Amino acid sequence: MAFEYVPAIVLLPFLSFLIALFAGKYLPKGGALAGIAATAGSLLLSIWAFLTVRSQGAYQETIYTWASGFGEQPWELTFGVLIDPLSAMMLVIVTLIATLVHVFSLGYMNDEGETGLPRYYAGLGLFTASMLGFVVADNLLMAFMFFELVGLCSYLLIGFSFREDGPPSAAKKAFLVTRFGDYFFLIGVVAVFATFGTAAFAGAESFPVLAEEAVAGDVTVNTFGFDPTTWFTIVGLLMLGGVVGKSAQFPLHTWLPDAMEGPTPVSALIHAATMVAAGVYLVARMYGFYAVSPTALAIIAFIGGFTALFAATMGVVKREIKQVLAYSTISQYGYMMLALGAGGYVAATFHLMTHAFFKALLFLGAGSVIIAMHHNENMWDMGGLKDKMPVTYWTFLAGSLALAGIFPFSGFWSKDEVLYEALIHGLGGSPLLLGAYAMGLLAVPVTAFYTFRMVYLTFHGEPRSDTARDPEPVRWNVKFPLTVLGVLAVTAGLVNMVPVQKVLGLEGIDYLHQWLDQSFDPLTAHHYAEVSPYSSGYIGGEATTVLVGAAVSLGLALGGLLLATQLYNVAEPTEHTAKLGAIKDVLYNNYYQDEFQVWIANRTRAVASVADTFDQGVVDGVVNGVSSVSLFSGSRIRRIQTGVVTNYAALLTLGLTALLLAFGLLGGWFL
Amino acid sequence: MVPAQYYLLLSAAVFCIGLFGVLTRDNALYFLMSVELMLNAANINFVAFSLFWGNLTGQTFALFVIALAAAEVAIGIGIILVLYRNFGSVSVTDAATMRW
Amino acid sequence: MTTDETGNSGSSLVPGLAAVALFVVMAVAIVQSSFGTAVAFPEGESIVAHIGYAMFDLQGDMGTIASEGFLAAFLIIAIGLDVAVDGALFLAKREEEGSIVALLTDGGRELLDTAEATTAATAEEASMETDTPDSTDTTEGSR
Repeated sequence: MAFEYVPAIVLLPFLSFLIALFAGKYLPKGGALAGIAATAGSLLLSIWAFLTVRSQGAYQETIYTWASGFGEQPWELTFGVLIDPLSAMMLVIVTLIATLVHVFSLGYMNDEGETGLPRYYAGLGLFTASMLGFVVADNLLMAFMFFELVGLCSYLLIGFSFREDGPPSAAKKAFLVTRFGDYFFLIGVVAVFATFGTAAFAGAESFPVLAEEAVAGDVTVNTFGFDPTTWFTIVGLLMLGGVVGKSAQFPLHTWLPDAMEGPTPVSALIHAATMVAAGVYLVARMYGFYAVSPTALAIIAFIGGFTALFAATMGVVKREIKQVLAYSTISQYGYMMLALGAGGYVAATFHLMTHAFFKALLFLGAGSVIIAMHHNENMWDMGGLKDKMPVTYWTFLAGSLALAGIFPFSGFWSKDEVLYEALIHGLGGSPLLLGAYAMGLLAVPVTAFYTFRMVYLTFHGEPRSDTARDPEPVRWNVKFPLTVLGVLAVTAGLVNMVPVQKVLGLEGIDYLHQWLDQSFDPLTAHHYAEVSPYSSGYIGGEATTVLVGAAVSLGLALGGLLLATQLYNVAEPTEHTAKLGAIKDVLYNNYYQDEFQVWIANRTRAVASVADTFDQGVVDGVVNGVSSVSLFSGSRIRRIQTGVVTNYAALLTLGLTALLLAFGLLGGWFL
Repeated sequence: MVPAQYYLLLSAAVFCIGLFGVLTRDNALYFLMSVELMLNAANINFVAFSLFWGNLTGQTFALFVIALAAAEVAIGIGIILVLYRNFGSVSVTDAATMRW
Repeated sequence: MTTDETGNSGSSLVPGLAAVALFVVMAVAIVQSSFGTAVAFPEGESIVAHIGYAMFDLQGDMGTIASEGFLAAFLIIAIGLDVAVDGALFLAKREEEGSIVALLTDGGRELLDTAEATTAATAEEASMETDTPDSTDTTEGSR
């Protein structure tokens, strides 16, 4: 039975973490081989679990109850696994990318002679283990714990080169910003427990089901005096705080570009499979809970659409290759949030999957370029790498076409479905969604533009520096992951060709829809569609809407691509940012978001100083007081330790006398 | 037959005399003698209760206590020699370095 | 070792009051308690002989007075006495440059003299250096 081995999927990378941590320095390659073996084992087990879900359906089991209450409402805090189509798919994605990242790290870290490799591989192992634990979690509290572990690991890995100036500061920023969001998530978790008395994701007594029944009036839960829908919106938005922080949505996206200070394979892992994906996955995991609250959905959609456009515009002017990719990640996760908010559960999951493949590919490709360029990330120093590194070029190109949403690469299918869901549900009477759709659509040409600006500057034209003229060659351990991901980036879209099905009337090629319908009853895709508050509207017929939507987004993408070709696909490209005028400075400075957050932080200084006074005065005062009392009494009492045997004997005698007296008086010996 | 209380009173008296010696003298040799007194106070109890219960275990055990007392004296004398060698006296107040 | 060099200067009778107090407490408790009548030993039996039986675990076969067997304790105490004697010898002798020499017999005066000048640790070394048979002779003479 594959399901009995599910805990091993989580524990194998954890084991590699322990091995790398304690024995890494004695092993060849600093523990890399243990990490590769562990993640590859997890990958095989995940595929087995995936196939078992396919043949036998979903599976849920409570493994360990670590706290249980008593009384009228006996709460149980448990660890358990929930393997349904969503989590099985995510397991395969995470383990696959983790394995490839481990292999790639051989080229990026070991071959480059980095120090601290055991620490690096320990971090990767723990990171993978935490994310896998988060994916299989069957209740919100367990998910929250692993969510926090993921945040901790990102802190450790972003700050890997802790002796330089940038990485520690970036790591702290990532930790603090995501923690700010997680704070609301924690309150949300407590609120879920207080409301429903359970935090399970699946089952008849799970909180999404209870929420649905409470809204319908079938059961009553403790909503603290609010209308159920209002209260669920409040709780949902609290938990959304954690999602916004982790998935780098506006306004908590500022940590992600700075996180580029970490090693490039780590960036690939963070952006494609683990940390950033955790936020979106969390919303998908408890989608039934959000589906009962139209307000929460609208807010999610609007945040997503806005972030997609907002981040894309910032990516246009960046000089470093990884910075461009960072902003594209924020933008793409905005699309996923847009899809979730627009009722497109399958579309969001689809985009999560395709994005995982092509973004991991792009980051690893960027890593390959960075190796070749001797760790110079400035695209204006590159150029002409196309002929020197063909494998990297062609795979990077495939990933870029997917990111830009060009037919028939994977990104086209998923992005098109996201926009399609937003469009039909917007036309069905939700003008707010139409606004979000418009922003998502506007982001399409911008995405295509910055993506191909990056491709042209890096690979086309004449080399613009000595290192670009003579790049360092990369080995198989770089090319192999790129090839695997390149194939997936091209073909992954074929699993869900909904537009083709709708236009040509073919039935049964929307494999992902069918797959996500195989879960437990209330966790299925069509159930979410029924619960969601949206109705669909079409331009003409369904097929026409599909065609119009796809044509518009593909046209815009091609427009962006052509503009980039016009401006940058020349032998000696020059900067065109000056034409943007005043907007240039705004974009370079990321809309002054960092400055704004620092300004906000400074406004709260009064609160912080009160907390500081409390900490210094009361907390430290109590601690210091206790210690000085024990120090003082110790210095006095130690004087009875005279070292003279007679005194000890006298004390013993007195003690015995006192003891006898006490016993005698209590026991009535003297009566 | 003599009541058991009398034996106990005798034993307590001998024990407290030994204890008194330990508490008021600082010559290590007095200590050894005082400790001998205290051990024999215990022996009085052993023998008394052996008679009281009609069981020979107490008597036999008293013999062992005497043997152990001999061992203790042997070690004690050795310790006193070392004490004397290191401090030049047999006063227990001089050996007071194991303190705060 | 005929005189106690520190005399009774450091001792006082005050701590002895604790022993007196303990006696008072115990005496009161003993006087207040009551015991039943004693069982005593049977007439005409040799107690000494029975102790001998008990020491060699023969009390079941030969004696009539109840007791426990003490053979194991007997052997252990025998070894314990041995160890005690060896330990006493070990403490009484002192090792110097690999050979065991007899105990200092100057009453520790030399040690006291050197201890005044230097610390205890160096005094120990110094005494070991000067502690040759010759010096032992001289100190014995001064005594």
